[in-house]
Amino acid sequence: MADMKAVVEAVRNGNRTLVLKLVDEALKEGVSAKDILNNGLIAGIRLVGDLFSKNEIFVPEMLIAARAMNAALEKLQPLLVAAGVKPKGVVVAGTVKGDLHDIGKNLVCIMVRGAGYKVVDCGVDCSAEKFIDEAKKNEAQAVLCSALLTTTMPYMQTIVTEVKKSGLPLKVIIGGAPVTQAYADKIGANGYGADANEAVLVTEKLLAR
Amino acid sequence: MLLSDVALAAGVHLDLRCGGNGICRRCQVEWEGRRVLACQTTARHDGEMRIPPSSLVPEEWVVDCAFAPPVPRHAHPRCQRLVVRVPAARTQPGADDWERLCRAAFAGEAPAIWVAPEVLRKLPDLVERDRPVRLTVLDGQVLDIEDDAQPSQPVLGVAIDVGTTTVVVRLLDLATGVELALAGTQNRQVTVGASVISRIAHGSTPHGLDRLQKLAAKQTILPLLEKCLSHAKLRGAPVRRAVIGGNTTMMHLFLGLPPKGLGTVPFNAVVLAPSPGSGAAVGLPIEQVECVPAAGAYLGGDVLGGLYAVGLDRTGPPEMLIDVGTNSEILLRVGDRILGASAAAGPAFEGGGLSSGGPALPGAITHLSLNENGFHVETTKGVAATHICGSAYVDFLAEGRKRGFLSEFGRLAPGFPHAEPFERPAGNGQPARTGRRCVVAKGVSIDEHDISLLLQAKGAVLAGALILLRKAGIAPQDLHALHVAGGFGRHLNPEHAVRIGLLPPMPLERIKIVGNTSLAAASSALLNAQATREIGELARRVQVVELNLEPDFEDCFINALSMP
Repeated sequence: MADMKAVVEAVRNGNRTLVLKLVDEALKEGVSAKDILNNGLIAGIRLVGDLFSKNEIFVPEMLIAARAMNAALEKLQPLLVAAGVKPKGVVVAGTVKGDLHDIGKNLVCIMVRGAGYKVVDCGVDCSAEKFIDEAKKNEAQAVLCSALLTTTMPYMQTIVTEVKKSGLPLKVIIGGAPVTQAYADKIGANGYGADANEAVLVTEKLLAR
Repeated sequence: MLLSDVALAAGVHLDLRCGGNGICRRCQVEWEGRRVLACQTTARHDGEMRIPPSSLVPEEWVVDCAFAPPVPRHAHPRCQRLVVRVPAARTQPGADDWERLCRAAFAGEAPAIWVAPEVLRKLPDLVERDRPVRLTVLDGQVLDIEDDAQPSQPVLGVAIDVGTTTVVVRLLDLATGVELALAGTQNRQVTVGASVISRIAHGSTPHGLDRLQKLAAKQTILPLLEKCLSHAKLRGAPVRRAVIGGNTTMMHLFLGLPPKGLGTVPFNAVVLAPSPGSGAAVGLPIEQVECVPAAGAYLGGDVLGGLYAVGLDRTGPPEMLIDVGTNSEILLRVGDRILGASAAAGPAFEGGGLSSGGPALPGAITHLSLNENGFHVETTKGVAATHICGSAYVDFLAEGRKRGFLSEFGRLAPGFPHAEPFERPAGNGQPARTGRRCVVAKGVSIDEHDISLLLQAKGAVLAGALILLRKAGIAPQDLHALHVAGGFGRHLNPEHAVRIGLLPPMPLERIKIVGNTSLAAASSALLNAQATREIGELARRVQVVELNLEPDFEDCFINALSMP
């Protein structure tokens, strides 16, 4: 649809005002929220993710695109719920206990939402219990946790252990600047993403059923 | 034992900037016929480890010592010299020599000064021969009683700035306030890790704290102290006092205090305002060691001292102080309020994570411009360029916007003649990179990934500054002055900094490069009896703003990523 192409472009350019305007117009013309979501917003974020993995755009542009998409998604949310549009899956996300950094985690939340998942953002300084409680409450399939400090990273081991103990069928996916695939393997995490885009790919792979 | 531990025990300083986590890949050595990472390889038997020079922390360290601010004037000197003629005993029967001296020296009430008996040994003879008596007093204690005809010896003290990357020692004569020598070098703790966080992690291991304490005191400060004493031709003279300025983590590690709490919420210190202690307790040949007090885990004595040194402790028109670094500290004085924040900018401005970034060593490009022939660069000491400093990156971004070869998000304009495509295979812990870059000197380039990291760094600083201004209800143009402290400011072009949106937009003449304010404050505390108390009082007044918890920080940060 021509309209949706414009939405995709506006998302890619991070033009928040324009995205919201186009979404408004599309809704008025009778385009369904589901269509706008899939063919406009998700398609837009997909494009951004692809460009990022090809080193054609970088973090600053990804951040403004994600922000623009998120603003539109918030607007569509009530309509999607009312129309019974179901997300592809549910995940909980947060920064681990002791850590306050959240810009990267927020980007992951938006990108994973953009891939069609419901993301419950647990915030910062999250204990294992908080992750598990929220996961139970929302019937989540994965816990996405990030740490930005080498001093808070070790808590990820605790999260893996507690999730195993809980018996819940939860995948643990980790990320953050000091985190590596080797570390993920060492602590028995199910997946690792080096950046927000990889977080989406790993989530999709692990939750594909 | 890890190969990296073996090297350290032998006094060989490997570059372990990632804290020995196997990420930076700088500690490559030859062992058992293979190239391995020293920090990831255990030696299970005797053998020969060959270490290439490229795996060592560079020895030469250019410290722009001329960048230290002038020694401050002091209203209440800690050290005083008085010359007095003591009246003969029979003129004041019943009053002992010491009392007659005090009456003659101090009109009115004698201050509380004490004198150890062994110091008094010389007094009677001087009084009997009616000689002019010279008293040297430090912190209310008489250090010496001499005949004033004898040449006086300086009373030695050192002001020390323990930076995360650079340590500077300034030797002062406390009696006159004169600077006798100045020396600086790289903080040897860098061999354990470049960042504060990596050192907190290391300092939380059984032997890590002791190792870090020794790296700071014995391996970094002591050689600098000896260099200063040598230069002033005072080897072997007693050093009475030291005042240490530094961020809270550096202070904890120097004192051997466990830093673990500083690394996670709620960022708790062991002590923010330590009492004076003996130099012996920290491994230094100094009688007494003091620290400039801190306000919090991320607002250390270096920053509080900075506030004090530029006069933001007094009430006045709105002024801001920014110390750009891995954790950029931003302070705003409005009226009698002081707001403070720490913006995690990342190591980009210190060259960390960038393809050609690096610290102030010989060969660092400090200035950069574009002319009809291409890029023109200036380096420290005029030697061949090997890498780029923070200030030159700022120049590059400003030139890019001025000449139009960089977009607002730092993308190189297609068709820009001085850009080329490049490919770097995965390695050194980094994934494969492709894209475009500018070669600014032989073997030295800036690529779009570097630019992305620089924009994120500058976005954090600008966002932090704008949020403090917003909270105080003032606009950038209302700032009377913006003081830029720290090594980064040394070569910084303020016009370029505003042009790229690193510093808030304001009249350029109000931006002041103020040098090593931490050293200035430590010097004040060394000379002035009120300084430490006044700096400590400042700590209580700073209202710490936790940027991460501000609801508009993320939005502000994202807006600040682009260049005007």
